[in-house]
Amino acid sequence: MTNSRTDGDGLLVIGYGNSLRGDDGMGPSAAKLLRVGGIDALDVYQLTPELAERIAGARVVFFLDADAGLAPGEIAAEKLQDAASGAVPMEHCANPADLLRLAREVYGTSPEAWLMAMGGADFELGDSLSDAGKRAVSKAVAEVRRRAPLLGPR
Amino acid sequence: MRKITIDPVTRIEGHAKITIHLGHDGNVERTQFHVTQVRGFEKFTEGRPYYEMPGITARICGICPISHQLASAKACDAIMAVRIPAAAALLREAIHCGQMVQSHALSFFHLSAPDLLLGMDSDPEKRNVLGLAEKHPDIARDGIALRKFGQTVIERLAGERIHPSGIVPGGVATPLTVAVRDAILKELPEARAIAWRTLDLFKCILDGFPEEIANFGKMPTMYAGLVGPAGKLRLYDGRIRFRKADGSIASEVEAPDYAAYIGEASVSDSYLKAPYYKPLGYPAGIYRVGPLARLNAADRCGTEAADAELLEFRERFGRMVDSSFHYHYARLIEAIYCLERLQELLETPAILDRHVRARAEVNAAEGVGVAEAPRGILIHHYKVDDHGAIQWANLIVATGHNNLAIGRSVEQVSKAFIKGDRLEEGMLNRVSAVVRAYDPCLSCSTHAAGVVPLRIELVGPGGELLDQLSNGR
Repeated sequence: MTNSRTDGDGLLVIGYGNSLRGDDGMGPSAAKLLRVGGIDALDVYQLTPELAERIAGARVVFFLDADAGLAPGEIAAEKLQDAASGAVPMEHCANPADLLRLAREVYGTSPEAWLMAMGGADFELGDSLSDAGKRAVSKAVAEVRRRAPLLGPR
Repeated sequence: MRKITIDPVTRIEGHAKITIHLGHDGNVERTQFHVTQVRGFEKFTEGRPYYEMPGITARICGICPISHQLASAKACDAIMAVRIPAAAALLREAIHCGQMVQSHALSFFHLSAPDLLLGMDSDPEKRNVLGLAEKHPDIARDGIALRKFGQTVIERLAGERIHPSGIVPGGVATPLTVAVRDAILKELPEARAIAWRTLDLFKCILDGFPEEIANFGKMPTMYAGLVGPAGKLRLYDGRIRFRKADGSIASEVEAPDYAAYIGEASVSDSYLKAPYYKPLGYPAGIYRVGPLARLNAADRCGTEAADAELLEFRERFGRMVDSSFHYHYARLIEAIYCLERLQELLETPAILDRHVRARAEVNAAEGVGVAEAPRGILIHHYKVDDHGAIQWANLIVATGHNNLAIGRSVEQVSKAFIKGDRLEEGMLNRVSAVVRAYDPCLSCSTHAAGVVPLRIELVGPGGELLDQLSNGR
């Protein structure tokens, strides 16, 4: 199984991106590393509505995504809010704010959520990360591990 | 003459634009449906080893990668000239059932239910799955659960939810274990309950859409779908049946013979070709594919509950159901069929056999693979050299088959609902909604990656842009 639940402390990590577009695969790559370390982490190609159920059951959610606008190798954490009513409608794929709102509307709860953005250097076709992408993944994994115990209701 | 363009069309997969030309009297004269993505997979796969094709072509689409993998793997089976093990065939079909369920759930709950349950004229800011969740959280929860069930079936049987690695030339990668089979069987009753509940709900609201039923592509065309023995609905394998609008069967052909019956016309102002039934020529050979076409083409589904629903469907709308609005209804009947068929497959003892893959070198220079994608017939056709390198590839995708029908449906809806020279969001939403009824995947049909937008433009008799509507992308 790619995405089995391995942790029971309410931390959920969702790493998303296209692992065949170079550093766009940083999110899934980081999620896999965190899962190996015992954290409940999903690596997905895109965000889809059914993730709302898992999100609603979490204490804290980290979304891990590549950011072409960030300096290569760097990371940036941002606290997320639900999508406001009237946001761009969700279609075949979603964004983190959509999913948080969907979780609140459907399951009555929306957890504390963070976006961990990772700066990449190469988003061309290919299934490996650049050196900068690998650095960003390492930093993101460490930062999620550092922050997770400090966040959300216990 | 004046012109309206819908660009981008929303809540579909891919990029499309609709142009509506108005006459001097303000009425619609003609329309055009343009697909604005560029295809490329057929060209850039040239030179690749044939056995890479299931993995490569799956990347055409994040919604129905299983269909591409199945059609591709079947074409590879033909190149290897192997008959795959029985367990592999059962597992491939079971995976396919999971995909159909998740895709049909996505189409109904997330893309079309906002129109159907919130209203075609409801606030466009809230006419989306988030608005649906706000007003009908139970229905949204059902949608999430049913899609999740289908995704979980794929993940358990094929390895990953999206772009799985388990479907390979010669069969599947991994045998099924009793534990996995039992886990799926345990969850099936709840999925079936959701599918039934949803179909019951849809039947209750159906009478609220008389104008849409009368004008959403209600027209005589041929229908094409795979059928098995006794004319049963088939999704993984079967012969391609073309049935005429009057209900008679025009042709029933083996997959490798498709090219004798299906031609592909190039259409101006669109990257999407327009397949047609060759014996009738272009464009008289218009036909529809997908859930509605499959139910029209087949004699019956072949499972108990789905057949009961199909009987009721035909009693209500006739043997040949000709309004494309009923793609929604047909999609829900198919969801029930897929869940019943999945149970049949999992309860077949041979599905647990450990032999799941045939191995061979290149034994044929050419291979054709055909399967029913959620949106209709999908054809992969490859030619290889002695080393197995792809020399030529042709993909005919469901949305392509429906290209002519979508175009005519857009024209019918436009003429019925658009009056005057100003755009009202509700009437333009109906133009988009008829496209959504087909659940087109334009990423598939042009084999390009992308998201969904569609835009409408209104242009006057002198070519001037009078108004436009888009989803803001």
